[in-house]
Amino acid sequence: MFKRTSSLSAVPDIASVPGNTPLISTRGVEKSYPTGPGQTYVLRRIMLDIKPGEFVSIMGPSGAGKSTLLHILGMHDATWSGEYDFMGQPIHTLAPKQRAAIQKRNIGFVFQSYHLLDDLTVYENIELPLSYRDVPKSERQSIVADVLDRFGIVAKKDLYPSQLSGGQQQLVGVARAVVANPAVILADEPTGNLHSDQGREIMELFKKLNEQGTTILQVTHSEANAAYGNRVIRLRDGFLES
Amino acid sequence: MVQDLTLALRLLFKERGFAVATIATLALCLAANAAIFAVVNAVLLRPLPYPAPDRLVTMFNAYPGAGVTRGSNGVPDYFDRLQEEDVFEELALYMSTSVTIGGHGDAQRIPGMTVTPSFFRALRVQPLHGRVFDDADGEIGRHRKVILSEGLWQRLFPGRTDVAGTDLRIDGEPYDVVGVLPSSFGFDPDSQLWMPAAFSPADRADNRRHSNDWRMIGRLVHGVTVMQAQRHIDALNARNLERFPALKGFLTNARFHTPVILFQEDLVRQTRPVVLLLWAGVLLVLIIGCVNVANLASVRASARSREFATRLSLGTTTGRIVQQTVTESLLLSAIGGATGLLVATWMLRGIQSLGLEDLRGKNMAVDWQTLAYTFLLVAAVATVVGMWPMLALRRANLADIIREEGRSGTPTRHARATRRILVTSQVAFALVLLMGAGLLLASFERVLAVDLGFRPDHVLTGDINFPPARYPDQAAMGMAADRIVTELRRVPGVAAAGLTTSIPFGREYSDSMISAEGYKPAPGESFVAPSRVRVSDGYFQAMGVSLVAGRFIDARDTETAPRAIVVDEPLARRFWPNGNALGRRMYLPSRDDILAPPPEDEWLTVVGVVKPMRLRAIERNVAGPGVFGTYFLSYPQFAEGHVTLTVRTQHDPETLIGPVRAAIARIDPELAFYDVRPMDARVEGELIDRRATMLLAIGFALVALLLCAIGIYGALSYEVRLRTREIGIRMALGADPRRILGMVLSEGAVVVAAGTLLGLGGSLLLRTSIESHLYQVRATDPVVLGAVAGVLLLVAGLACTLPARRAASTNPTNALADQ
Repeated sequence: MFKRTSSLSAVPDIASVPGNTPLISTRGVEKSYPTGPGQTYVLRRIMLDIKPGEFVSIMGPSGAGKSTLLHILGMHDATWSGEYDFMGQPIHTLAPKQRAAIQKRNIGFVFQSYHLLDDLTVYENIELPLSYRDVPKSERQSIVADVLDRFGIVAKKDLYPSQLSGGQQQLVGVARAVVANPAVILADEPTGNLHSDQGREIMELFKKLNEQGTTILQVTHSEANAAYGNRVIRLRDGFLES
Repeated sequence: MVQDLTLALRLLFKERGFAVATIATLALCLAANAAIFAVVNAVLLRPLPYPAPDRLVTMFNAYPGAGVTRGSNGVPDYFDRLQEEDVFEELALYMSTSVTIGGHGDAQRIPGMTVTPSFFRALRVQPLHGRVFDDADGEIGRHRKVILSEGLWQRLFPGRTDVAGTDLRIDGEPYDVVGVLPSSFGFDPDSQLWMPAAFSPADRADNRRHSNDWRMIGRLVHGVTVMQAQRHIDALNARNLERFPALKGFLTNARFHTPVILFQEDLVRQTRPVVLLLWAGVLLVLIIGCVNVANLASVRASARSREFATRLSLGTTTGRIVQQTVTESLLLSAIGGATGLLVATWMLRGIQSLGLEDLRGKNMAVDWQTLAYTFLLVAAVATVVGMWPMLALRRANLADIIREEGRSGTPTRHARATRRILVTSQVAFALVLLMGAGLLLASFERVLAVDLGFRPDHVLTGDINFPPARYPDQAAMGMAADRIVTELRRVPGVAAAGLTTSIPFGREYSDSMISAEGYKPAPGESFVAPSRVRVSDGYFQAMGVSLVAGRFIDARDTETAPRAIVVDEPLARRFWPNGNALGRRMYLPSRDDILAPPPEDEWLTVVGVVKPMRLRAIERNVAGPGVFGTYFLSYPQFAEGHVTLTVRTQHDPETLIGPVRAAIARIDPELAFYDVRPMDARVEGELIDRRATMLLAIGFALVALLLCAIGIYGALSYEVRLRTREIGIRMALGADPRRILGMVLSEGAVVVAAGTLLGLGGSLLLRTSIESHLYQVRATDPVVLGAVAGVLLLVAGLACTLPARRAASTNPTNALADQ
């Protein structure tokens, strides 16, 4: 699927992106599954540009390919075709290790089902991405403390996920996504399992993060949630609606 | 119960993979246990097939200070002990023998026994035809009687029930057949005929005391204990010490005593440790197999935990659920046990084919005791395996179980800890078994490396008995031996030929006192009784023995020549630690006065010193405390009736069998040449027991290792499966595949390391149990420890690698797909 034609001398970050370059740019991205003699397409000819600082919502009916697109942009999924540039880097030509390095440095992910680790405390769950980025322990401590404070969950740092409500868990999920200061947060139905009040709380948080400069790309069914952003992209049957 | 059984059958059919894996594991483990229990039962537990076998005792003279830890009994001992009527209802002497039946051209050598007439009364044996011996048959002149085994009777007199009174020619003399014993009489599996012992006054004379050629069996009077019998024998020995003061000093210094032991106890004395070791081994294999099955059951129960929680919330009880799960595991165990019993019958055939000496003649079969034992094991396994998963359920919070799935895919800490403990215990048990097998293997290698003191390759051996009727004295036997050896040397391909009265690893041994000129034992020091062997000219050369000094026994050492003796190095050092043994004089002490020098013509002059030979057992030391070496006398000067020929050739020794037989027949066609085999085969026979035990131990250890590897692989694979979503999350958060690989491998490593340490500790704790089976290897041998731990770690590492690699190749998108 990928032809390795270029190498990465240093992992790019948001500061290294020239002024008008889109943060995310796709050209003709497609994904399909073999079904019998043919192919079933999940995404067709996706052409997309997202600039730094945008708050974009991807909407569409179930099965439209929203989450699939999000996972491709988040570099969780490697089986697709087309071209995808992230911070000017041609992701489609990079080796898995190089893509993982960019993903680790620049992308934070928020899941619908929170996906916290049950055996780790709130503190440890938030700290996890930093440990994967080889941040020294003393630095990790101060970063995590700062994030706990920002999110108002210092009192809960020693609790386990099973001891939190759904909204609190998703708060921790968001905190974990931002702790490494990513350039972009990808959120897959972040309020899907939450009560409306809790959902509102999360969306306010996203808005604040966006105002502070974080690019946010969310998949959502909710028009109310989409209203927090400044652009909506609609998908239907794998195609972008113009 | 029927409902549970029906549900169990349905569920197991639905989960055929689980059922087949469980049944196969249990069948293998239960088969091994059933087979070994059949051996245990036949050898250790089953009472002897005689009435009141717990009243049967044996006894033997021992002189540990002289180097004889187990001798036999003399004829005077028998008559002394017969007086102890308060203690012994019956006493009998017996010895193995072999005789020639038939005549010209059809002479056959038949193994048998010579027994006092009381022998069959002591055992309370009833004949199949005719009668057993009565006391009159033990009188000289009336003793040419014989009792046949059923097998020999059918061969010689097929179908004849009137065989009593028939003549049978034995060693050239006519004997009356008086009876036939049934094939169920298995006192000695080799014996095919029995002849009465008739003792002359010379045999019973006091100067024959401590000439120990006979084994003894007795039946205790009802109510008398072994300890009481021992006290009587000790008192008898003490009285005799006072009666025969000439021997008192020697016997006291030699620590002479006569142990009285239960006959069955004596039979299993040497076998018991080996059989118990094997039994322990298979039980460990069963435990390891059960752990695998328990893990499988536990995994299955976890998958059904929501079903159980729902049933509980609907009103059933834990006991009811336990009943159902135990029924399922009982069904599996029963099928596994039945299959195992079938496999056990094949395993038993395999065990018997290993040729263990102490299993010969034993009826080992899957009998009712083995069935009962297997049934007990099945019930125990079913209970443990069925109840184990339910122990966790009892402690769980229902709400937690019902809400359990959906968070992060991380299995509960308790379930994971339980699986770890089970796998750790498997690793520990497997290591204990591997250690045992490794130590036995190392011991076997040491035994193989022992210097026998002779070269067994390319040597043909075979026995000859000179019947007293035609070879009435030493001169006749010596002359015949000389002619045979000379004739053998003319056979093409023969490089050297000789004969001996005690072939290494044969059954003819003799220890006899000897002393040296001018030698006076220190106060409290015993005269020594080294091994005594008589050899002809050419024997040492045929056997490839190394000469240290002087010469071998040779053609100069005729019957009338000055008496010569060759000693081995340990014996030479004993008497002349600083000097040269050559030319020194030795003598065989008289019982009347052991310090008195012999007549001039009975002095033995040391003509040669040889390297020590292993005569009785490869592992028996040839030097050290309590070991006094061997002396070799010239056969013509000390001839006796039974000899073993030794013929060295450059070719395959079996090619000489025909020519050697023909050469013997040219000298005396009525001489049977029997027990013919290469010397290598005799050495090999010495190794059978140790090799068989080692092979069985290795077999159990390999099965345990395989089960353990399957257990580790299964447990870790299940962990990875349960944690697929967690792994996906970690990868989504930035963990690279190597980190995931390391995470899973370290989980496995912790379990394997803990199990290895526990197993090493267990091996050290159990070292005294295995030390008696080892030869020149310590139970804590670091090389074996290291090698075994290395093998286990390698296999366990491989078992961990596959699931770890699977985890590392997880696709985060698929893992996280939760819509």
